[in-house]
Amino acid sequence: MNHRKTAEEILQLVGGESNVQSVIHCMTRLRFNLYDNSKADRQALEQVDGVLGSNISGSQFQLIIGNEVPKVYKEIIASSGLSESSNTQGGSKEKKNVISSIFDVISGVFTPILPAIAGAGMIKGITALLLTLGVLQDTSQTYQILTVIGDGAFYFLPILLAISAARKFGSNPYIAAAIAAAMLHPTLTAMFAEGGDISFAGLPVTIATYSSTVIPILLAIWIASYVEKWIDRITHASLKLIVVPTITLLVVVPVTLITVGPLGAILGDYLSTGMSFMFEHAGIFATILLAGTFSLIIMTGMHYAFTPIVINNIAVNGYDYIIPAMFLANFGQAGAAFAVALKSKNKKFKSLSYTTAITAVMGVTEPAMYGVNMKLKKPFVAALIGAAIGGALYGIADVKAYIIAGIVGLPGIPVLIGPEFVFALFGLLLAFVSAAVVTWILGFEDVLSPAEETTTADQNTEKEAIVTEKTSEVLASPIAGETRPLAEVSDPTFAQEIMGKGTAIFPSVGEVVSPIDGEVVTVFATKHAIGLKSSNGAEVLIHVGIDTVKLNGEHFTAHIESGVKVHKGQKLLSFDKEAIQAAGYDLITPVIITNTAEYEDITALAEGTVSTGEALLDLAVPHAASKEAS
Amino acid sequence: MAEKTMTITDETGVHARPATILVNKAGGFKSDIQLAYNGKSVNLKSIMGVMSLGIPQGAEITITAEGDDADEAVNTIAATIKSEGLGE
Repeated sequence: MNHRKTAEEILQLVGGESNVQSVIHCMTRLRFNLYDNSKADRQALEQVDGVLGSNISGSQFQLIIGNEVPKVYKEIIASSGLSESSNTQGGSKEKKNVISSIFDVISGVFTPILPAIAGAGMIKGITALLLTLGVLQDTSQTYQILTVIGDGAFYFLPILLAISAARKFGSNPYIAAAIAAAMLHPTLTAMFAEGGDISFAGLPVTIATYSSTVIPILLAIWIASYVEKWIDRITHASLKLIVVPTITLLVVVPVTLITVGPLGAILGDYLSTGMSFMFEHAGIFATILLAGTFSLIIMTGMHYAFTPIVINNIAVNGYDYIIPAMFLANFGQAGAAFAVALKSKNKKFKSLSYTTAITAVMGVTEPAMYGVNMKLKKPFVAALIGAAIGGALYGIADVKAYIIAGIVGLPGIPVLIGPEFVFALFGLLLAFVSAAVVTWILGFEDVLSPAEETTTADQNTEKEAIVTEKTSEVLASPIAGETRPLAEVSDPTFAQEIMGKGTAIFPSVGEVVSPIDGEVVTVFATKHAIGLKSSNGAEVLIHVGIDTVKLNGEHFTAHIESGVKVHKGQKLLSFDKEAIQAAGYDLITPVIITNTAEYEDITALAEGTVSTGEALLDLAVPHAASKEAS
Repeated sequence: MAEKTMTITDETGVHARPATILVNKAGGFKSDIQLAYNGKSVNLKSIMGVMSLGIPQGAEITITAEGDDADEAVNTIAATIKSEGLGE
């Protein structure tokens, strides 16, 4: 296809540039907002080389191009006065403010790594508890090794985040991990510990701590994603393997050390100086402010700047106000996550929230903060409010810490023992309960789960009916096996999403169960494929193997017939996996939403191994806001 | 209104892939296009609809269209069925 020619023809046939309000693209489609859809000549457009089809969804005019869509899009932008929309992915979305977007990025990056940090956090909490209870001595090697197991994921958090962030920003995850590893290298840490002026090729490197931090590595990988793409573009194909990673590492690591490091370190210094000043002059407001913002400070890694002040406070005065505020922040996060656990209707998310609330009480807040509260946004705000309320009490009662805390949670509470200890305990409870209550009152948009569809459907029916009668839903996996992107399926009808979006599964068991509650629309006479329609309107095709139509039903058994109602998890088909493979067929099984066009977005939820019933695909109907926009 | 009756010759019938091809063609027309087989009629712009007919080899199918571009729609789809070796 000649992209330029295709682009020019498309522009002309949609009614000319003057008819185009805006144009964006997703994975396979050009999505036009036209002033007048009737000016677009759909029929002629379909004949244009490279256009696979057209569609009108809401009032958005869509042209299905397939994999080449970014190139055609570029040519359209290049050959017209239209501007490139920053939002090229999912169509028009709700307008978000900057903070909300930052939250989305952070929680999105954290979601994949949660199992690691939740597990490590649990171990960390239990180890600290065993120490407090006197079961273990801090000199014992068992304790030290347990500490290492619990702390590994947190100390090297930037490495985990780098991999996950790279996936999100679309750069190489292993180069990203290498960047993070360099930033955490013991030699660098030792140089920082030694102090003095450090420079790299004459440029000053600021002393900063990167272990356990979040923001610095996210910024580094964000920079890396641009550097990598840029170098990739200007490098000849034969040299890419060696040049791209070399230059990326050589540029990104020093740039991060020289520019990102100081941001945290210098801001942190100002922050801690400002805080000390406030504690001297503003009393209770200082406690409220510090407790209420400490979670944000931890996020940036700026809390490391407080350590010298805390040490100094305890050495000089014998007590410190900053540690109690940290306790409050953690209990606020715990309380908010606990309320989420109580209120969420999504079973999986509910149990995750309970776990993270417990680890947060034990002093390990990352899973609760990033995995739950920040993901849902409002609970995070509630956690800050809860901590601030606790801060008010601490300010009034003058709660102090008398020892430097090893762990800022239940096991570390003895550091608060002093004349105000009762208030200290009561304040923690207050922070926890306030955060939970505020979370409850503010509410949150729950993570969608299959069980919840019906309620959401009820609430949204009226609104959604304007554009479509569909409701958002989550499809459960009909097959146990390994998920693969559709693009890897050898049949282009599936791979190019001509039939619709979806995912593919390589079965590990020869059985297909229903991914939805609904109806069997069709069982092919050859029993190799089945079409379903969910009660929420999703049309799902499960196509076992490629070209298996030729087996004419052999090795397949159908357990249902066309027209019957089925429920999620009900057995639909069985097949003899070995026999089909022995007959020379690829068993890869596409699961396709054939009415993809009626959804705003279809996202694969599973990666790697799935078992039946696990969430597989998220089908999102257009937002109320996007309707206004379109 | 335009109408055309054809016979499916492909030995595997109108299964997933051919259904997709036909639906993609039909989607390009403004007309309301229906596909009938065995006394049942479905929207030819819906993949699931077409597949629900379970059209086998030897089936007699009828394509009907109603709208501004009805004639062209039926002709194009009939031509596609032929060119794909689906039927005649």
